[in-house]
Amino acid sequence: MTALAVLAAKLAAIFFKVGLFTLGGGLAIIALVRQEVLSRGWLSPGEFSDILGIAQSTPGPIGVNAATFTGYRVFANAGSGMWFALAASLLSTVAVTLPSVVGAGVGGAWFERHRNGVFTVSVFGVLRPCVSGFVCAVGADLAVECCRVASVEPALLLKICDGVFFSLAAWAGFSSRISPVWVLFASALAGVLSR
Amino acid sequence: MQAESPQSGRTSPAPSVFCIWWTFFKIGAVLFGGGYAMLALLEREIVEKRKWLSREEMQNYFALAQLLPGVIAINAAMLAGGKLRGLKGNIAAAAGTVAVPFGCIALYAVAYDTARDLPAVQAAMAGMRPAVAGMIAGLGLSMVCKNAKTPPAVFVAVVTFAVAVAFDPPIVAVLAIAVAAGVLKALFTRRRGGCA
Repeated sequence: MTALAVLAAKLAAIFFKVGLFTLGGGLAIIALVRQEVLSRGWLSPGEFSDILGIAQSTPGPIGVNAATFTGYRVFANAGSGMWFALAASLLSTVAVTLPSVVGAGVGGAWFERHRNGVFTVSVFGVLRPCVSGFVCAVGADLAVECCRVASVEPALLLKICDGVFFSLAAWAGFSSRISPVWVLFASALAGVLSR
Repeated sequence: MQAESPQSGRTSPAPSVFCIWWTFFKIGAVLFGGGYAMLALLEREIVEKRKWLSREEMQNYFALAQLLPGVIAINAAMLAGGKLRGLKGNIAAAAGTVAVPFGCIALYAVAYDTARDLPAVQAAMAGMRPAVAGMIAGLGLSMVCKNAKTPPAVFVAVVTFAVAVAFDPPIVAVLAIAVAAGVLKALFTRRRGGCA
């Protein structure tokens, strides 16, 4: 019980930190959540990828959804029951949005005045490309992990199929002409059918 | 706080906290994709249908949302809610936006727990992984194209990418360095007389 309380406090602190440093583009949150949960061994890379897939195919911002799901998984992996795990997912969701409440309530007026100030423009001019690099790095890491898995797959057809879905999803994410959600659904369906 | 807009001369009374929550509840339920999907929904619901804010105000808040810490969609909702009803409106908007997504994820999380060992679920998840990787890579590339338009910005993006892949440094520390670099650049620009 005390172990779960400590874990809950850690979850809250970490997701507050994640919310606070989600700067220069909302997707920074994905890189931050990934680093926090993988470096602590809370989730396996495969589990994290599953969470991202589910977080994108349900409504809501992908990063907040990922935080919600992570809160549940971390408690479930620690052996807690369903209700405690649900409470943990609520805690993570609140913690990750709390910096925004403070930011929008207190910082909103300040930023409104200094939005086009020399400092704001300059700081975000560095932050935004920096965060873009981090998001690309997450994509690269996920792709490397997929290649590692694919390299032991026996069937060539499966490798080709993986490559096609990777490219389609990349195009969907890049151009936003179609929603990546459709590609996710199609790839999950193909996964089931290929068995 | 009043829902008044000097541009259009409207004076509609500020909506109740519950009304704000319910409106954002409905927005959150159909929010797929990132911040720009949110802007489209906000313009439709808050500007056109309810006429709580003018289009200029909404776009202003959306630009502001990108400067605040946190996810852009939630920030934009909070700024709009805060304009309507202060802190209560801010929290009501945030709680409304995340309500349906939270419920969906909670259902999925419970289902994943009980069904993850089923062969079909494992096959679906395994099949989805290349698409997840591609999606994130595509989103990252589109961010680079949008945010790295000058040679120094491209340099920052490429170096961050290389360092992140090779060393997996603490992201918070790197962001702190980026902020410091931005501040230094601004100080330097200012000393030289403001021409960057």
